[in-house]
Amino acid sequence: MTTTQVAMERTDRLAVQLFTALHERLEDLESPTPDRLYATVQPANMVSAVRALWDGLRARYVITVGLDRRGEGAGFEVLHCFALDQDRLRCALRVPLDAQHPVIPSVTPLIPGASWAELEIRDLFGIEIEGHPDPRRLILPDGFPEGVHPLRKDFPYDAKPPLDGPSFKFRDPPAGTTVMRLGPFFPVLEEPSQWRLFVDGERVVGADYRGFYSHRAVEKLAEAKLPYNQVISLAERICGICGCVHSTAYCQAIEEAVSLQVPLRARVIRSLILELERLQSHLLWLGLACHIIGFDFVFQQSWRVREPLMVLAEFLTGSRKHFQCNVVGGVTFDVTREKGQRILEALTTVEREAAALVKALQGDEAFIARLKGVGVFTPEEVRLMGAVGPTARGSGVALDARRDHPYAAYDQLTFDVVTHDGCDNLGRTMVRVGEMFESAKMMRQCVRLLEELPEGDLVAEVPPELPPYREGMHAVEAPRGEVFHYARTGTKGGPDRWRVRAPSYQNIQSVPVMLKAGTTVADVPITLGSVDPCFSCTERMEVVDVAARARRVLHREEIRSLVRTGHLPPAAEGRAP
Amino acid sequence: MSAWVAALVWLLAGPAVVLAAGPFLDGFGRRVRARLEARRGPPLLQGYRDLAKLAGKEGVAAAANPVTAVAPWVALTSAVTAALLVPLGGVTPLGFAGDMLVLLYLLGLSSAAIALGATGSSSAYAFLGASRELVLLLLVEPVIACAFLVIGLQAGTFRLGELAAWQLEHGPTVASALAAAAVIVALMAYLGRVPFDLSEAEQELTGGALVEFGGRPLALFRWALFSRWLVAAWVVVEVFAPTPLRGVAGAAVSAALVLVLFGVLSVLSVLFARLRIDGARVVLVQVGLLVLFAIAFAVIGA
Repeated sequence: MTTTQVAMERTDRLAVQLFTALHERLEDLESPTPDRLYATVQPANMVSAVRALWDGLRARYVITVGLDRRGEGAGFEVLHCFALDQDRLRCALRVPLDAQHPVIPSVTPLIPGASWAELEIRDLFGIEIEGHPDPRRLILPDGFPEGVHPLRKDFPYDAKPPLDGPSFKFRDPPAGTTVMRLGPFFPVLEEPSQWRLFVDGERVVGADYRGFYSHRAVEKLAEAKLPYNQVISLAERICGICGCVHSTAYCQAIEEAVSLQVPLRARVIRSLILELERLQSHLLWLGLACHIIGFDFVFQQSWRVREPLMVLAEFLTGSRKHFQCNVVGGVTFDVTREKGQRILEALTTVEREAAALVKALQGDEAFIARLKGVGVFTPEEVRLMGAVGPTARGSGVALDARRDHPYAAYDQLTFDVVTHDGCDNLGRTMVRVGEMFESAKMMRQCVRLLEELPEGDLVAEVPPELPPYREGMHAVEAPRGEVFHYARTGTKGGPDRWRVRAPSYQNIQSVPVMLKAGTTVADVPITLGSVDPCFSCTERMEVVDVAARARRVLHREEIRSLVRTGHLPPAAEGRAP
Repeated sequence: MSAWVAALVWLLAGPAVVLAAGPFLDGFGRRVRARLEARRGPPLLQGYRDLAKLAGKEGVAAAANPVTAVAPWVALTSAVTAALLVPLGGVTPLGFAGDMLVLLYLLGLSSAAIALGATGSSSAYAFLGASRELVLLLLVEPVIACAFLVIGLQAGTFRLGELAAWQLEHGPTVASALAAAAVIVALMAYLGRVPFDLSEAEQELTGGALVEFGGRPLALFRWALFSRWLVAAWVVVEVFAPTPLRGVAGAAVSAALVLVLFGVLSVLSVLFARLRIDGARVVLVQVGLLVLFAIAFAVIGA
């Protein structure tokens, strides 16, 4: 039996199970590819369908996607995306909604990890969520007017509504506690986000969160303006540390939607670059985590060890970050035999030095004392919150998209899924530490594979126009966990809908769960750091005038003027570019 | 030279030396740390540059009350006053019976002034930083006092100058060696170095007790901190490792030893992750037990 046949059997089995559970309530079932299933149910039957998947089949909640299909003569639509990791399947429950008054019951009481996703479709599409336990504003900024929903197709991508709407309300602290704010700007948060800790002395008894301060509306921009291959540049810039995972996941979703077969050599190069990215990201994280607990020696050393990888990345891709290696259908550059040698040399150095660093850390009692038993996160909570990546694996939950839903060339590689039973900050740390060496192992295998494969076969044949309204959902195991992209092709040469779910979307929601009784103020930054939250960051704005080849760095007043008036003031005299 | 003239010179020179040399320790310590962390590090004179920069900035008062206005001056003057009692080559023109305890109180007052200044603001970080500063002070002061007591019991005096003289005469004993070891760990906490930098803890409290201060008041606090580092390190060197040399040569040797001691503290501070307050308590209690052993040895005369 071929892999495809096996996959189709699994899809059939799931289809039968869903049908048994739902009978006539199931409206439609499609399986565009052997390991994807889209089941349509009416809103009234949605909760029982979710129960069938969540309780009956123990499916993992991934994300909820909203769609505005009014332009196609339909209404709104909601997709609850699940994964059946054991069966290597992804399944979406499609819920068609009314065009005038879209209403859907909440699944958050059942699946707490669905909270943000539901609030997001409420904020951005105006789909009413019935029975959400915490219906405060999530994504829209303070002052954004009620009744205006930016991801609806009739909202222009460059519209600027007046900011006279309601503001976010923080919860009141419980009696006898005081509020301690972490953020919106705080030393260990790379990007604005606000945690309000309710503290009694040093003890933390609760927390409230406000994020999305720098929501950049990349999905809207892609859907409204960009052709397929330009979205890649945008996707790459979602994250400043692991942008390649986004561009890869996006390309894979589009490739799945229009059934493109990417050449093996291109897939191996994708795996190679993704593992390079993971290795540098984990070393970066190790340094930051140590900095958070005041251990700057390891912070500096770990970044020093990481540096050859950044030099290698620049050598391979032309850039230390934002590798820009993907196009729909393949990759943009080859990794030749000589480059392969250079990779192996860099890996030898980095592995040796990283091993020395890790050995020192493992014997460091003060370091371990700060991590062990702190930020406890049980396997059941992992499932409830939909946590992914090292955050899940540090609790002994062996989730890994590379193994469970193979993509790129991971079906050709041998590697271990590193887990740890600590269920605490130490567990999450040790998982990342172990993964660094697995990544190096995989990069070596990729180099060997590339030596065997003929050079130059890098891109699939892509038709000049992609068929519209095809859907793909695909994931990449990013350093922080599963990056999930849903893409639906459009009629204007670009995506009609593109939904990005970064791993931090689920993992940051998990942090309040980790702040258990007995947590002190000193434990909060490292617990937050232990999920490696990625608030993709822009510390300043830089404008490059391509025509004049002049570079101009904007200063505070200029940025303020840009934000307030929408256009740039002329460059101040005497200020060198 | 009469005793009066010596006292007058001391009165002027002591504070001047401490104020002038204290900021050097900052640049020196940071350079040591940087080298261990594979960094180039700041210039040795960075401490002076920082003070000059801060002094040139306006002080934005988070809370305009007398406590916050006075606290920086209390912190600095108490640290500088403590300098008057530090022996130099066994000489203490301003010394008196029990000056050891007064010196510890003055240094403690300097710490307490930081906590006091913090409570004048309404920042949660500052409050928590101040409470940590005071908890640490309560834990570490008895340890330092007892370490001096170990020498005092053997020498039969609490005059700093006589402690140094006794050490020179009798050489190291088991008791004083134990006390010296304890004092090095205790100094880390006393001077707020990592892993005991809890009250500042940038990553947790964004600067803690001093978070609301800027400009000149912050410069004063930092200057007080540098002065405290120098006075504490100097007095430990004079009591636990006095030099038989006199005059300029003696002062030079002592200064070198102060740098060595501060260098050791800086190296140690690189090697550990910051403790939580409960962890710090455990460590300091253990160090306290070590000092109690030392006292026992001192009593039985070993």
